[in-house]
Amino acid sequence: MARIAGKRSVSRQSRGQKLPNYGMGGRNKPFHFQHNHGSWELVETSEGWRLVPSLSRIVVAPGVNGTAQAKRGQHLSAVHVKNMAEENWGSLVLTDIDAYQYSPEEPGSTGDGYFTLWETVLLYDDGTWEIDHDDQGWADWRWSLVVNGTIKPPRKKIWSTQERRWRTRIQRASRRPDLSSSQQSKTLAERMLEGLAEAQKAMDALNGPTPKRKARVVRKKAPAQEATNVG
Amino acid sequence: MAIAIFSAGAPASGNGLTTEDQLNDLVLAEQSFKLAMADSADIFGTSAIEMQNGSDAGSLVGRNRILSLGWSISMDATAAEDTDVAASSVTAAASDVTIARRALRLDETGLANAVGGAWGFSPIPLGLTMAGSFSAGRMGLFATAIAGASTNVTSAGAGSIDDLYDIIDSFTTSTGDPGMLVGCLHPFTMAAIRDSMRAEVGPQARREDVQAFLAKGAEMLLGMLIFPSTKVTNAASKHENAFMAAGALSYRYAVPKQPVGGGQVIFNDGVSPLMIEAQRDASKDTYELVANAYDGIVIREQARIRGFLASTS
Repeated sequence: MARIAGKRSVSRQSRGQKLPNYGMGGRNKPFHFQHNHGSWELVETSEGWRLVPSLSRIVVAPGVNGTAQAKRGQHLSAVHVKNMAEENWGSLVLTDIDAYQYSPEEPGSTGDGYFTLWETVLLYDDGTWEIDHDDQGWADWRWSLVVNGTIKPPRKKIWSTQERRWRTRIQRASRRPDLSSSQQSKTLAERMLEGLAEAQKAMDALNGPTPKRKARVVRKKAPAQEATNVG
Repeated sequence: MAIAIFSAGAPASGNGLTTEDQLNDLVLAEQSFKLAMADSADIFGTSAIEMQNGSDAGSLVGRNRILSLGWSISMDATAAEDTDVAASSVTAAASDVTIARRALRLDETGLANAVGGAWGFSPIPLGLTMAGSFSAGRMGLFATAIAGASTNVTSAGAGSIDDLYDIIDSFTTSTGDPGMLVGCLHPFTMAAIRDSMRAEVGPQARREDVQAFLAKGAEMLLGMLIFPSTKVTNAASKHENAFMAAGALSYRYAVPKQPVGGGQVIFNDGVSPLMIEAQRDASKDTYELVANAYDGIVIREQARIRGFLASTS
């Protein structure tokens, strides 16, 4: 379980709930997830290695990402989603927070925070905080988005890019085999390549094999027709 | 535009504004404010961010539509002499930057002022902290914006020099990203990369490397200019770092006009998005120092930016 820790302000003002909770990694803004079809990540899920969609956060904050300032009585995100639909970055934006269940509001000591469903916020009296993250749950959920068809399976190019990434790493490591870091790098890359093969099998089982690129057919050139419309 | 300090009719020391505020050199004060605002200025001065004074900030919406030529178009010498050229279309992938208000108010009650001794109500020191807050907030806006990079390279760990090769690869495979690459990394990610580099290049180079990192705020690595910032956000146990090509982001700001009436202006230089004013609420016996800034930032073209997700632990 990954963990990030820090210290929040425990001044008199913050105890009196007068200041927003800026301490916890600045996570007091609502957000949406977006997925670009070129962005994938090889991770270990509870079922084994899978290629899962990499998700970015679009934070709904005035002045950022085209989010307009909220006026009195107006909800900020409504404005924001409209903007994104207009601009269309070519990415899938998971806006339905209720359906995807990813952005629960965590009441902090000095304000609300927005976290993923797989993050647990621990606040301590001495002003320190920790966020525990369930890596496997997060990976499982992202794989489920592919299984249930929310996100389309990756193109062939994605697989080859991933493979090249780890193969290049092995090549670089083999230039300096005397260094322990090279060995570590090589071991990691080899493990990832094995994982990639496993992920490919799982994806094939789900969708049928990734279509191979057709060999280029060289056509015989048709004999040139004589121009008949010369007039 | 000069800054007005509480010169006329300022109360004597110990009651209200101290003589410290009546600075001898107003220009020096203005420079101090600018220095305090310069914290995040380094990365805002790179080619990754297109900075512009917002043109329609006077409208109620405060929105600016940014059009660009698109990353695949460059001005090449293909035009023949004495020949008309065909028009290139401006890319349809226009994005909006919305200029929003950021504000901060610091109050000082009459009682606190009276018993506060030498500290008193000093608009310059308080104003300087506000200018610093403006700078920190702007870096926060920047970090929040780059978290929205739609294409990511994910590290298998906390970040390593190998990952940087992968990032460069992801840029070069989409040809045409202009300019030098600029990175904004969380110091933790930066340290992890440095560690992996140290192990790779051996002890001799290690010393120079460490010295270079200590001496500079920004560091060149593999031909990329890298800025560290603790404002880099995190989610799902990953730091949301990013690398950008020229013109990846757009920053727009509005310059507040000199107010008519109201409080005393502490800082308003006519070119910065920040204005600091002071006013006295006599019925509450309170001095209020108010900073307003109008700015916004947006990823102009997703093709020019890659998120770099690296583990937080």
